[in-house]
Amino acid sequence: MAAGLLTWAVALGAVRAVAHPEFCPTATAHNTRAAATAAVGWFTRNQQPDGSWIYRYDKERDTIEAGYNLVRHAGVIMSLYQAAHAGIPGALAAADAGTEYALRRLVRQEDKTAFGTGRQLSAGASALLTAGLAERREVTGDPRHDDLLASMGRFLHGQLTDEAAILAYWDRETGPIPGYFSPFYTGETLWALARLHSLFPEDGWDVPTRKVAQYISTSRDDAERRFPPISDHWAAYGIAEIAAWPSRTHDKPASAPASPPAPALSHTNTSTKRSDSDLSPLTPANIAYAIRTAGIFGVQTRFESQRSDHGIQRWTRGPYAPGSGLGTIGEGMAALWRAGRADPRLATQVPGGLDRMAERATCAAGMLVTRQITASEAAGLQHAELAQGAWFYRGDTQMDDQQHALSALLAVSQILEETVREKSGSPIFSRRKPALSHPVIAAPTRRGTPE
Amino acid sequence: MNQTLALVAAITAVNPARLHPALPAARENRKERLQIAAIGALTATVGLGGIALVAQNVNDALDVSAATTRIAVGVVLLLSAGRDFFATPISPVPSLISPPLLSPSRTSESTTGTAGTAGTAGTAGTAGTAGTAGTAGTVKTSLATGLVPLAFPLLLAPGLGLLTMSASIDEGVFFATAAAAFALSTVVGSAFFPSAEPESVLACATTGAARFCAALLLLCATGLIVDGIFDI
Repeated sequence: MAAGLLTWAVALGAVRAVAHPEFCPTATAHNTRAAATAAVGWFTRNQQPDGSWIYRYDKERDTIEAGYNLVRHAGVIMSLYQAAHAGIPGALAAADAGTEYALRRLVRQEDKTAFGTGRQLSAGASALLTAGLAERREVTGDPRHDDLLASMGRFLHGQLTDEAAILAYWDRETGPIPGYFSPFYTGETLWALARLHSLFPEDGWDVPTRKVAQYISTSRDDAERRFPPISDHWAAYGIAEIAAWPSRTHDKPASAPASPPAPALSHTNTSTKRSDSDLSPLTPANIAYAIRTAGIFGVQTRFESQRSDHGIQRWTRGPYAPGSGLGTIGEGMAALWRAGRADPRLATQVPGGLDRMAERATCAAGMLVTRQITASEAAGLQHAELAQGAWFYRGDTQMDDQQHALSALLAVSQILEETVREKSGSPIFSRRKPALSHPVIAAPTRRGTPE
Repeated sequence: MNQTLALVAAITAVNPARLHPALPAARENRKERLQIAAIGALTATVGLGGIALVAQNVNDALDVSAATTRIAVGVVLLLSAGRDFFATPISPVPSLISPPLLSPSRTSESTTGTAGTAGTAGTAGTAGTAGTAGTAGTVKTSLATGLVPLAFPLLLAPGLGLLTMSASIDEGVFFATAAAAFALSTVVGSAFFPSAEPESVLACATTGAARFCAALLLLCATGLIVDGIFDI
């Protein structure tokens, strides 16, 4: 009897060590939008005259650290256009200034254009700039960058291998550099190409897009990195974009994007709901990949929600993830939620359905809201303008912390608004319930911060 | 949680082949064996039903999600499977090795004889019970062993208890309780057969079956962990 009781005690101890409490702060359409607005404020305050942003700030030492990253610059532009799409004041002007900075760093060769400096340019910077300018095209209806978009699309297309992998770098003298891949550039390129097809449906961008989507869904993990599986929020954006393309059964061309800046995050129209017989262009392999990826975002959310700055979790779960890492989880899950809204196959096959996905994305947003530095918290610092609206990780913040957090907040804000609309005032997802926990695929740390 | 996975996990967590040697051994004790096994299984089912009933509330109170619970339960089952696989086969529990109910002399012999076994089995706590049982009290004592140690701690072990909890959260109280009851019924089923003579081929086969169950449980536990990790 005593031995039995002891066994139970040991087992319950083991359970408690594995299953820590999960805490998801309340997220509402209001507080997520307020946090997004504060993040935009960080970008407008900390933009340089040339259109670049403060890259990294260490609040412990009160120093602005040197360095810059053009992939992240393009990512910030994209996020700010998303914010402009959501109607957040100041976002469009800041994004346009960032675009001007990028336009001065374009490399043109034949009919292709890439964004970058130096001899070797990354595919990622051009892909994110393409996605950002596509967002701008949709927000403003301004066609001024249409030729550039097509030209960058051709550059990205040129990076495809026969297997539809994306070569990460391009050399000004020798062209695409074989053998080098990036965990994120492939997903970024997928999204960029998918957006080009949404904007210009007659130009044939869907062909390379489908190839890349299939490669990511079926071969990439084996070909590039088997373990841990890539937590690819960019691919999730791409999947959501494809899901919103005109259906296979109806197969009518998408209308060219018009000007009205509807309050949506991207071209992916979340109100798009299809019947079972009205399939999106996603293939079964794409659906299966989306479900797998949702699982990765799910476990990352649960793991992150178990982190705490006190108690045993401090030792078993480590410090809070950077804003960028947590942001990508929210972005990715929200994108897959949009894909699920557009494709009933995904919505019905994913464990827990769309509600569970929305719950996890909302949990990530709730954590972002509570971890953002508020005006009052920043007031005591020497450079309050560098801290307010930011997310810090071990004392420093990097511009992509704000970028990914901003995109996640905007995406979740949209989920919450739609949920409220549909459930007409019933309480939204709050507090608990996301779930664990594998350190290997915990939210990315600074070193692994996605670009 | 996949229902088939949960059911197989429950059966292998009970591991009737491992428990079988603990039941009264002699061929002529079949009725007693069945009674004890039924009492144990029924009691354990009631206990597990209670666990299933409060599982969701406990989980909510602890702020733990269903998927996380699944992972934690998988870890516990993994440990249980390791124990079942590598530990020496369960030895006859003294109080369960009762002789024919109305045979005082054999009762005394048998009880004395098994006390030593109990020492090696690490279940010395039950030896006293059996040892103090007199002739008149043999029936009572024997049937009571369906409660202790059969129902607890042998059947109401952490692996099965926590699995029932997780299954209840994922699949509902009814499924969890039914799966547990079905798994426990295998112990009653196994009571139809007398234990094999030590060192016999049948004893080896029983041990092999117990290890096979443990290996299956290991797979189920891994499945639960993976399922929990990649749940959303």
